[in-house]
Amino acid sequence: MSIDLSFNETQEMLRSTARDLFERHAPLTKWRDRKGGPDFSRELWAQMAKLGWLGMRAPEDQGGLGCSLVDLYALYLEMGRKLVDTPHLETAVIAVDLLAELGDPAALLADIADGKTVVIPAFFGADGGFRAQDVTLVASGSSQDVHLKGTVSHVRFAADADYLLLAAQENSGLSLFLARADAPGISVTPQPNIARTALSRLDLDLAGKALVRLGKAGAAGETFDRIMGNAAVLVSAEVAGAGESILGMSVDYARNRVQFGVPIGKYQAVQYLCTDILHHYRHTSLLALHAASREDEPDFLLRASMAKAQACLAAPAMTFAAHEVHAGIAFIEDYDLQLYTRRAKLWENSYGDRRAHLDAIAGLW
Amino acid sequence: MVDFTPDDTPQLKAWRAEVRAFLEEALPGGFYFDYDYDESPERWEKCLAFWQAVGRKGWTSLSWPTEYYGQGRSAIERYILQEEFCNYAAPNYPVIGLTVASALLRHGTPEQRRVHLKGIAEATVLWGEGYSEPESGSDLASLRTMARRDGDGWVLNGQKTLGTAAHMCHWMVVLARTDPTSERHHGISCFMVKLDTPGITMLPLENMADGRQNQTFFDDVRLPGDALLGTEGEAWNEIWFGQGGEDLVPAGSAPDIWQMRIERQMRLLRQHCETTLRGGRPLIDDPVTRLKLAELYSGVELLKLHSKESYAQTTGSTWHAANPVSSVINLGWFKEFWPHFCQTYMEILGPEGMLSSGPDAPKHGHFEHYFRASFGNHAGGTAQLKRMTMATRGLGLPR
Repeated sequence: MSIDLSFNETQEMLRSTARDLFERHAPLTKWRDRKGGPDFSRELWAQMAKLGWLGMRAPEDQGGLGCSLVDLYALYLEMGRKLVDTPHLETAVIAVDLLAELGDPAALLADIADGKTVVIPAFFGADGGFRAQDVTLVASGSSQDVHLKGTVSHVRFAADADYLLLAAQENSGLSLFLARADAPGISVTPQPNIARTALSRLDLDLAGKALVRLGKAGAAGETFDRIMGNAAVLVSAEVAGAGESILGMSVDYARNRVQFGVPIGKYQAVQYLCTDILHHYRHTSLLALHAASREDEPDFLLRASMAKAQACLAAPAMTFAAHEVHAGIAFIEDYDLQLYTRRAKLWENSYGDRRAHLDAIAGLW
Repeated sequence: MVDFTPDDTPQLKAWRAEVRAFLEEALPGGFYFDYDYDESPERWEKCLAFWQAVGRKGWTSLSWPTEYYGQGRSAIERYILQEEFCNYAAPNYPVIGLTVASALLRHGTPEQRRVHLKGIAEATVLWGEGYSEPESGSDLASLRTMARRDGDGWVLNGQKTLGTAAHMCHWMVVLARTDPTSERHHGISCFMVKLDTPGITMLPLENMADGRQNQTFFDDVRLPGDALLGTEGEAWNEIWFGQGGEDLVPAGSAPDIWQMRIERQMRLLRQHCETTLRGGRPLIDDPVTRLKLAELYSGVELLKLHSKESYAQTTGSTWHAANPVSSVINLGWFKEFWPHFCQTYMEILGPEGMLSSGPDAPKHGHFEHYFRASFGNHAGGTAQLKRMTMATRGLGLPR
């Protein structure tokens, strides 16, 4: 049907299943009690495996569900709404996409789908980049005997990883490698952060058999960029999902909090703040949905960067406006808003910051 | 199933091609004209000739019912027609005849439709607006123009202001209070007033973007009984809401030609930045300018997506269906983005941006003119009013 922005039955089902599951297994209270623990809920991970969500992105002929980016968009809206924090994006989307497309040398896809193996990408420094051209690791040695020495930053859930996916520049272009996470030559330094999520710096000094190549030397760049585009779209969907929560929370508060004898939502200064959140939420959800629907089109990377550039603006702007509406109460740890504010900063800086995406837009347009 | 494509069938693609071919024939090489900001008689004439040609194709009334000069075609065909007019930067239909047509189709009598719709469809009879008054702008419900019953007809007294291009129009829709004891939203009625009726005088208000608006005075103007459009005393709900003033769901959303002027400016801006040297390199390679252009470009693309979401809302096909604010976001956001867009490009252009004409003015002064025009973003309701509507009607915050 011409111009149809509604979800199909599968997507609606995915959303309502996700909503139920996260209601039961991902209460926000868990977050409040966590002061920097690196873990994620293995119980939730097992439930996701049972629902087929860890293999949802793999093509059907490789045992997956062959889900589209719009299907994932529907799921990621719900993840964002409830601040669900698992390595789903890292393992079930990025790693699965890369292994399915470039080859799966250690036959990991089945174990990933079963929830037995966690594969974590470790690609970038701390400069906010997200493209093949932003990878700073350089492979030395010969293409048969590669040596990787250098640092990657802001790596998620490194302590929970069974395998790491690494990217490095070779003479002919970008190459990808798989390494066991417990290999000697990987030193993990936790990076305590505002989002209270697991981030680490990895100092790498790997060579020889510790590195297994994915696909051909120097040939991964295009696939890599496309899959980072997927990640940017899905983080944008999470920001949109969180926007729905932040808006609801702020509007409820503005309707019920009485000062000077009236609900504060009667004041235009407060109404403006609430409509700022509405704008950012709806701009982000729209651009991310549009980008997701273009995953097989030539303009996908442009659309993905437009979505993420907007999400990068929305994440801090929505939480800021919500804090202005709530004032004192939201500054208290017991109140949920601060959890969104913390996470928003992670999303803003994951898979390309605003500067990087605007730069990409200027290059692609 | 998520799909942003309007023309997803061979028939609809052929329809778009037909519209495009017509535009290329009717306006070879394009034709830039904004009646809001242009007083050139030659360009006005060319604009009217164009819309009369559109009228002869039956396309102005494309989706109207066949018994009233329409073709009964679908909402998506109308959407595609209008999108193609936007892509071609065709001039907008002058002035508010299409809004009047929509009100006639919803609230007019069969006789009123027969009398008035043909002239609107053929663009031979132009309609102006009689809403704002000197003391009633955003707070339109405080209006004071009065119409009292007189035998079978009415006598109209009062003053309207800011009537865009009203001096070019033959008729005006006038909102007036018919119940002198009424207050606010109640007791307001809508009248169709022929502008050569005795008792009407018009004075010009030249606007800062080279267009003419008007003050219109009504002194004991006698109107026939059938001048009343819709139900006596109910115009606020029937007409004002219906024309998008505070409406969350206007009928049959489509891209707005007037809004999409901005896309043309974006193209011109990019060309300018590619061909202008600053500090020894093209302006587009300046890192600050590069990011600003990316931001503006994304904003323009976002406007286009909002018009699609707005359309999806009117057909009930959006996952946001439970929260019908798409059209007010579509309208309201443009009002905020447009001035931001112009202010940002003026910053990019620097001193050259000030130049209106002459050999040194970039793009023949279009940037300077469009910047001035952006102060007209209040037309049809201010951005602040849209925010209030969004907050109260959209989000349920208290009034």
